[in-house]
Amino acid sequence: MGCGTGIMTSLPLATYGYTVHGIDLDNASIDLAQELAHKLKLPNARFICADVSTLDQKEKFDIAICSEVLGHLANPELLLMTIKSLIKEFGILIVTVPNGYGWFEMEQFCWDLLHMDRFYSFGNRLFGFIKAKLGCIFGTSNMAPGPMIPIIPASLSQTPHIQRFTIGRLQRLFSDCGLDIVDIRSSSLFAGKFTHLLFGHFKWFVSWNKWMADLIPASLASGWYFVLRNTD
Amino acid sequence: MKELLLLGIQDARSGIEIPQKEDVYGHLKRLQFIRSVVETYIIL
Repeated sequence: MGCGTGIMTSLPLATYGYTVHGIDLDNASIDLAQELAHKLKLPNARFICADVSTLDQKEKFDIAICSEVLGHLANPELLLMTIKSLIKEFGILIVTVPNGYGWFEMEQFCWDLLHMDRFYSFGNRLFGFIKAKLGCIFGTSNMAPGPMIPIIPASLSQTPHIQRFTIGRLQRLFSDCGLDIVDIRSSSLFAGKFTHLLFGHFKWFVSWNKWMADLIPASLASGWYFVLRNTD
Repeated sequence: MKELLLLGIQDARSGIEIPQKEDVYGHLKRLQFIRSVVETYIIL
């Protein structure tokens, strides 16, 4: 649900052999997803531009994935209830959500406040140049600047986060929807455009950042992954 | 978080190869997590 161009989850899962149905409201994203599925020869990846609540789906799904979507919705409970009606009894719903008060949101707030989008191309080149020079000085070869502009965007629609979730709020939300939490994992400690610009080129930092997320309290992580079970 | 995905996808041979590069957002970690859950609950 909210699959965008499919590049984040749907297409990779299809390459692993699973039958995937991607649904999104954005027509342009779905068009690109369909084009990618065709180019990649993935007939098991199907994409539909539709509102999930209007979906006429007779067969229920084993697993539904709602990744980085809830933060963009005015009524996340409505979507969760709709998804719940589309999965089998004891079916699984995977939800990933950014921490509404975590590092990522803080960086994004600062980024927007400073109107950094105007400068990010220049900034990326500048930071890349500095890191490449440092790489020459310290003899590390993998410090060349990488792309900040995505190869393929995850979505072609631009919708800001309008929800700020905490772990507690999500737990209440899932409970209200009759979804039992089976597992919770944290994504990373630091995340955001500044972190990407400053440290994204350092493999050791990326690995450390990911590793740290599993050690710190969940409330400090930049985002969370939930596995939920439909028990109704 | 959505707009900075750095995972690329390539049709590298007759089959498919997805080059996966981890980034500060943990995109690869998320995909691996989702895949592990799917593998746990679905048998191909």
